[in-house]
Amino acid sequence: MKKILLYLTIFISSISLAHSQPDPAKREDKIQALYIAYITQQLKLTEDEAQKFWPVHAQYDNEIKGVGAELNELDRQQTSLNIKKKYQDRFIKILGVGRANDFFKTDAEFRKRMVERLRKMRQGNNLKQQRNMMFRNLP
Amino acid sequence: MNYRTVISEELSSISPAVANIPFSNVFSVPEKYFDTLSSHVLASISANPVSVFEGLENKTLAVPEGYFDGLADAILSKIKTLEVESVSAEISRLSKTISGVGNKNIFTVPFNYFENTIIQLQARIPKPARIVEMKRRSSFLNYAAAAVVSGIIGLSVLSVFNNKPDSHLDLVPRAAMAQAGEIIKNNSFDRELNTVSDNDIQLYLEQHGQDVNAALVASATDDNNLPNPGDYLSDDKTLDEYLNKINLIN
Repeated sequence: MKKILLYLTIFISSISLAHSQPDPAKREDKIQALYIAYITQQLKLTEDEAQKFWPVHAQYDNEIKGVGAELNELDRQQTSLNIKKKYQDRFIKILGVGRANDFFKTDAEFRKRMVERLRKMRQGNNLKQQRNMMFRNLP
Repeated sequence: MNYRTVISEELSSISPAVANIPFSNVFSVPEKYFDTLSSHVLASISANPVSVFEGLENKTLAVPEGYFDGLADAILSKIKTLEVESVSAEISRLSKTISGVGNKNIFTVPFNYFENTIIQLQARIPKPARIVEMKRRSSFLNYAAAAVVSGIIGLSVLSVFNNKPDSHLDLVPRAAMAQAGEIIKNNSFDRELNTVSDNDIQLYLEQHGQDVNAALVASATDDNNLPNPGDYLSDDKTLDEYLNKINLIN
């Protein structure tokens, strides 16, 4: 009986341990939240539009992420473009022609802002390293 | 049956006349001979009882007088006077060949016969199997094994429960939606963007098919003047110097 209780305790501990492991998907949620906020604000999505738009967008996003990195650049761009065209009509039905077109622009702008943020972080880090090297080399 | 046949054949070879006698009793006694025999014998004894044992008292066994006196000594002296034949003489008399052998060992075996034989026999004996003693496992190992198994089961259960069927709504991360609502409400986009790590941004961009290094260079060129085309021809380090200038080489 004692043994059964012990094994049960270990079993439950294992589950809770597995739960406590950091989930990489959770780390993505932050950027995802920024993206949703950015698109919502830029396209001025209403609550009704958001309820229709984000499920379709989730499918679209999954397909875009699924484009194989092993493809050469032109094929990869072509595949991504095909997916965008495929979803264009569905976005138009929800947002209308103009805002559906704006969505693709805003989507690209968000990634551009991410790149800029990354560049500034790296430039800042490199400048810090250079400064440290200079101080170290001072007599 | 065979026994009788053998006897008949043997008898035929010895005496054909006897062998031809049929198997029948050739002897006969008068009729009722034995019926009255015992009574006749008893009647004759009782009629003259003394006559049966008459004269027997004078016919007892006897030896000559003084027969046993000195008999033993006579036998011994007679034995002593006999010439005793030696063993070798007796063997010599019986067989000259055996006598010629004497005490020599006439049996031989090949050289190293027994040594080789023993080695060969030992080689044929199967070696006893190695005895492996089963060590008593410590209880810690039992618990560790149980923990590993339980962990695997736990992770499997989690993975099963986490694999929810695809539905469009489930594809939208609820936590991200709630967090996005807070960002809009607090107007904190730039502040939140500054808290995202370098690795997370790189991972996100790569997942969305972005060539991060190319995008970084492209982003930097927006703010910095590219070198003149002629500079690349006059100095082959122009590109390296430009990349150093924009501080993007890690």
